[in-house]
Amino acid sequence: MTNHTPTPRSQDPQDIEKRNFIKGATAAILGFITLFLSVPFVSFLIPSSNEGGEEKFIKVPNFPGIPTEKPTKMTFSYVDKQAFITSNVVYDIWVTKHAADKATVYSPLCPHLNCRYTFVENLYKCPCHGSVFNQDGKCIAGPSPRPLDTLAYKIESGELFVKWELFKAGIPEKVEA
Amino acid sequence: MKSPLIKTVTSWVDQRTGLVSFFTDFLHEEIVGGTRFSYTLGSACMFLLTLQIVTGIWQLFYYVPTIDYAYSSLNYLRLQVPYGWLIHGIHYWGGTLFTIIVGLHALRVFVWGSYKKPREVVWLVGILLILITALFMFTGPVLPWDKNGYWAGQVGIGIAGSVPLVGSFTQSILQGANKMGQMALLRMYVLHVAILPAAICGFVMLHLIAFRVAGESGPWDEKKRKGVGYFWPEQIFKDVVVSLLIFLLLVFLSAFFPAPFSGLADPMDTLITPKPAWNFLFLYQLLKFLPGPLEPLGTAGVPLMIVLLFGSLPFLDKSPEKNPFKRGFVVLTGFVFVGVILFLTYLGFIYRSPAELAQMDKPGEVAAAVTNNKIPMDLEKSISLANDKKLTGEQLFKTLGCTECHTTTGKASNKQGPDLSHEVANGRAHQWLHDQIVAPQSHNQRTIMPPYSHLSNGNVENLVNYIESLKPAEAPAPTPPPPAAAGGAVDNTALIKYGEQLFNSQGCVQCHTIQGRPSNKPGPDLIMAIKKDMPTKDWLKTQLMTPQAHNPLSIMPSFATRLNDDQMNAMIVFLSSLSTRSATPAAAGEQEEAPEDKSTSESGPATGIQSAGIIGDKEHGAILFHQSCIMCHGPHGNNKTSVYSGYLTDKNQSNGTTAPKGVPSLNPIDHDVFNSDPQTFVEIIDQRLQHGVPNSQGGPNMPNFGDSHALTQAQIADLEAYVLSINGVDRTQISNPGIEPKEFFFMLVGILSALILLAALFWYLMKLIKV
Repeated sequence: MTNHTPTPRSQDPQDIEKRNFIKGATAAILGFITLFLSVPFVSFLIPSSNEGGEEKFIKVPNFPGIPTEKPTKMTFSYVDKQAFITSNVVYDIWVTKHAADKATVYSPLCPHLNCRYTFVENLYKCPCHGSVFNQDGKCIAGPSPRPLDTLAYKIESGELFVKWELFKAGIPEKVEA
Repeated sequence: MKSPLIKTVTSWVDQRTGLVSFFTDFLHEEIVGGTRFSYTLGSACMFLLTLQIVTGIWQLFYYVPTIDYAYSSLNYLRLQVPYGWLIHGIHYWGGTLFTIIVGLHALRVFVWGSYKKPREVVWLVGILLILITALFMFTGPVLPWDKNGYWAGQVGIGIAGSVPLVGSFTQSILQGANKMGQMALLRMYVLHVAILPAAICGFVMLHLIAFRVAGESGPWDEKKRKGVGYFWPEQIFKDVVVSLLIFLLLVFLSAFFPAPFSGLADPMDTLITPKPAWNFLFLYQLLKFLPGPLEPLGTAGVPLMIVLLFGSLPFLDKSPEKNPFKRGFVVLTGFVFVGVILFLTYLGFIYRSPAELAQMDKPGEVAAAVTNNKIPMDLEKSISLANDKKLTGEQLFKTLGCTECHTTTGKASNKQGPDLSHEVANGRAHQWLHDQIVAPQSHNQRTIMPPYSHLSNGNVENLVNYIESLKPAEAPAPTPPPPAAAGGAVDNTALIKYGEQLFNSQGCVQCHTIQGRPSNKPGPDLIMAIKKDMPTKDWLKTQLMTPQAHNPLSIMPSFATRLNDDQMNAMIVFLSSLSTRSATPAAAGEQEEAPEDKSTSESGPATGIQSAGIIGDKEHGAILFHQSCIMCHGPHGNNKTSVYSGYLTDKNQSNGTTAPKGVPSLNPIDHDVFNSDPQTFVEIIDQRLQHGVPNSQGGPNMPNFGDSHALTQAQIADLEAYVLSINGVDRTQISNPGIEPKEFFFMLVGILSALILLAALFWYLMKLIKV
């Protein structure tokens, strides 16, 4: 910076008024540009509502082949299209078959904090924080705030179709995430 | 006026950081001789740089730097993300404007003599900033991985590579591999979004610090140096007004002149004349004047000299005089330099390669293209030109589009027509070849070969003589030895294997496929044909010995003299065995036939890119259409062509058409094919371009351009964009604009005008009240 004493500014009321007007106008123009950019910049980041395609029932192969009344981990896949990329996604679920047209389908994620639980000694046990659920999905120990999340399903000509959904973790209500 | 709380906070912060007094000092800078609009160029650069950084970061939310997805991710951003058009548009035009304003800024400093002592460092850092800008403008356009960017990058890296001594090192560092591809894209990306932004921010800081320490230069005229102005608010106000105008201009350009969609980069495409972006045209043009051994002068010598000259300017031009009118020599030299750069840019801009000229529908230029062996787009014109001129058979072959479908190398290819070097060996009579050129449908009603009925007799003779003179460039593949007879009886599997080897080595593959799917070859696919007809061994033998016995119009040559008895037997056993063979999977089916496949797959199905998902370039599509489609669909897809009047036309077709039987019009296209939604429309026609369609009326089949790799996926996308455009559907329609671009611009201007009016009204009312 140059080291000289600054020239004092004119204190004439008219000059002060002019200066204030210019300051206001500068702020107004900058505000205008910012406003006109901020709306597009925020909208740009909001995902479109139809992104990810519609939810639908996806076939889970091999349902007729599994034993009844025994929780079985099953996997199924479908082609997911997101924006400009299509990819093959594989999901796993816990299925207990009660009859050829009746089953219980659990999301594989613990309702506490979305860890993947396992089925040991006739109970669903979560390794992360020790939540334990019985075969009806009821939480009998540990921090989970609600029972295991069931997934919607339908059975058509013996084949199982499941609608994959995610639910908010850590709250007593089962709400879509 | 400030509240005590704010004062306490600011002084607390200032005592610990010095930031408040720093900014106060910064804002209260005194400007010798008052504020001026001519001083706003530097801050205009700052405004643009800020916009570039923000819009650049925002685009990273969608952009993917891989050769598979770069182009489609950017197009998704531009067409399907709200205001993507605006954010991309500001960045695209902002870069261009930045280059121009940086140039003007430097020019002003040069004319005003502001580079002189003590501002040498400001000037030197400024030169560095211009070089960084150039690197930005070089790396940026490559990122969309479209045709323009790919070729600009290719040329740019090539130029860097031809610099003496350090060239090949630089090229390998920039390219990251031995050719343009994924590694090059990533390197351009990292330079553009990480290294260069860091560099430009650092050097801008240094530029500003050096500027404030040395002080501004002010007017050269002593009289004008009286009095002072202030940076805040007077100069900042002027800066902001200019920024507002730039902002309006950027929105205007983004709304009315969006960046082109030049189609996916396609290394296979030979129709493109690689040209750098506008800001490097002068260098590109300069290189044209310095061919051969002088080239290093253009790639390294001249640019280095320019930089050194400008860098040493403050040290060479040491007189304290700043008045440009008293520095005639220096200023004039500078203007001559700018003039030369602009002139070279103009020359580079208007330069067209012979191939491009040929596509521009200008007769004189078509002639130039003919002599340069380039394929002209307008066949009608080139035929009449060929008739006027005396051209050799080879020249005719290369200029009339024959090479689009035929090879003369003796090897099997992925082109639609057979290789022509075996014609004499195949027993084609002179007259047969003549008829094939003038009226191919007289030999095979389904052929897609266009009739060159307008070609003069002499020219047809020249062509026939040329074809008759052809010999395979390589010796024919050696005939494999017959399998050894073990104990007298030859094993059937060995015989089939031997037959297949013969099939591949005796030229059968030039007309037939064994893939179980229709192909674009002149002959039928043999898995399909043999499964369908289940011919006897005797029938097959007759077909091989005298094909015309079964069909007098067959164009298949006789193999009676080309296969001995053992070979004939193996061939028949092999052909019969095809009745139990299953179809080969698509894409892999033609690997062996098409040696070019490796490079094709770079933009082909192997990488998962499918043409239907790519936004093609309709103008390039028009050129491709003229090469691959007009023989059946007519010059504008409307089935109306006079060139090929030799076609056996379908009398049932609507009047005026001369298209072959059963070929649908594309302009307008059938109702059941048309769809106003670009994506749906494209997916329907994509099926036909990829896999072909059999002709139910005995005319030529639609070839399977995709499956046969006759066209790359990028080329198919271009063709699709063209076919959509002639049916009034825009492939580049913005489906989710936020606010429509043009409406957005008018809204912006409207609100701004209203605000200015309101402010003026307010000002006027205040005055009234005071009075």
